[in-house]
Amino acid sequence: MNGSEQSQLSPQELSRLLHAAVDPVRPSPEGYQRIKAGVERRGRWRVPLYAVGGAVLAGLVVLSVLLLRPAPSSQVVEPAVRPNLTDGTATASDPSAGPSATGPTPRGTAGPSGGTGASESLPVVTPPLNSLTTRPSSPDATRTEVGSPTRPPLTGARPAIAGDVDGDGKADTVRLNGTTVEVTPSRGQPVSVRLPDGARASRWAGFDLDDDGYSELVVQTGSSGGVDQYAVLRFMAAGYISVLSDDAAQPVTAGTPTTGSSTTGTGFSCTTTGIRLVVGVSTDGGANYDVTTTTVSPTIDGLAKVGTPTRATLPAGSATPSFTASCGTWN
Amino acid sequence: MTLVEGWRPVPARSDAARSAVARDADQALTALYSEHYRSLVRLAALLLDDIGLCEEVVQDAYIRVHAAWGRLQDKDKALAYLRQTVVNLARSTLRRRLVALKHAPKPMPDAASAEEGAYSLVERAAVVQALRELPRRQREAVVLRYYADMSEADAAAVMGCSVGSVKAYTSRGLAALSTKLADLR
Repeated sequence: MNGSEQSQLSPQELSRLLHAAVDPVRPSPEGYQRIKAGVERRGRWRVPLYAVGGAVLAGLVVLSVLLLRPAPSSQVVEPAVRPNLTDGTATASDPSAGPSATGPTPRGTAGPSGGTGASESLPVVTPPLNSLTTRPSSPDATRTEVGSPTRPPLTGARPAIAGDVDGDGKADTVRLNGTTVEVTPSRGQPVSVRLPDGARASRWAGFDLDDDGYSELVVQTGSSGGVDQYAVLRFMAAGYISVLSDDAAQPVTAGTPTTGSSTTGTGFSCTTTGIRLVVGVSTDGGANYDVTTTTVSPTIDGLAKVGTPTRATLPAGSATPSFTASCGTWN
Repeated sequence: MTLVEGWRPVPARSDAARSAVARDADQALTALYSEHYRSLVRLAALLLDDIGLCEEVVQDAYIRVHAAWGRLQDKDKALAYLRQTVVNLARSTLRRRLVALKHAPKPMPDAASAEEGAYSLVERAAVVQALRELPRRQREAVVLRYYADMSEADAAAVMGCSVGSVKAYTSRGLAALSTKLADLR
């Protein structure tokens, strides 16, 4: 330990050694000139470098602004219309335009409808022949069909007011003409919709059933055995309204027929989330009903079931008021 | 990159103010050169032991200080900033040299020369050789403390570490140098 302490270099001695070691070092006399030359060289390059850097930065800012700026488009793009529309769906065109200008359904075959009165002035286009042959092979194809018609931009409120079929905030003109429903939107061309075979329109109501700003039309298409049948018409595209198929297998009906000892009551009410269908069955002479409530919503593919049906057993006093057609104002 | 206290960006100046700053920087450069250039070259010589490279490093440090003169808040700390720049550039140079040496062919064995008989040169060579064998941090701490006569706090600021670390590096470096230079004494 003592030997170690004796050999320990003192700071003063180390300082002396270090100074002695570098004492012979003599800087070159032209050091100052070299520094000045370096300063001037650096100054010469600084301005052009700053200018180039500023230009590059400005370019990047402009480029990023251009890339990040949202596209100035307010167009509401509706997914492509599925081609297998239900039977009776039709579009019409301006009579003066002739059959060759029948709007967004070029696949259709133009021809006279054979109707009477006003329907004669509105040529009806026959829908595609077979839904299976025209259905797209994949779901994506439904959404991205090139050249598919689109709805006009929504300018009205959501939900739409009753009868505002084209979503411009104004109620459109709807006229029932036997087997066809004629709609004259406040913008665009008039449309004639042919109802399914055997159907005959007797009254209608407008209601936005999916809260998309475009009013659907609920049309009574017939009545038999104390039960009224209804169809739902949806605005698919400009000049294109179709009768929605009953994909949910839940017919829109209202009435209370009695068959033997059982009584079946049906009815519906329109909401902005769809049509609430009520089916009640009574086997005790109408005192109590087993009531099933199902909601169906209009989609581009037809009426689709929403959620899970609910079941309840209700006394007649509670059940029968729902066996009616409640969809705003009937016209 | 370590920073000296008082060194921070300042707002852009007008052309007149900029030219005034440039004149001030030129005068400061001249003063710093006449007062400290030699000592800084010697400091770099202890860190690098290559006179040619030492001068380049110190000259580059002066050029950088001149360029940054307008952003230097405390002009009294110009020497500290200059020293710090020299140390940082010496580190960078050492790193580059290590990489170059790693890929260079092995040199021929050194032949003894007549000049090495001089005691001062032997002593210098021995100290420098011993310094070169120290780890970089220990070498910097020893040189800054015992050649540049800097306090532990100043050395810590230049090295970018804590005062405690400087104490540890200095102590270990001193012990290692004592062992290596025992024969010389």
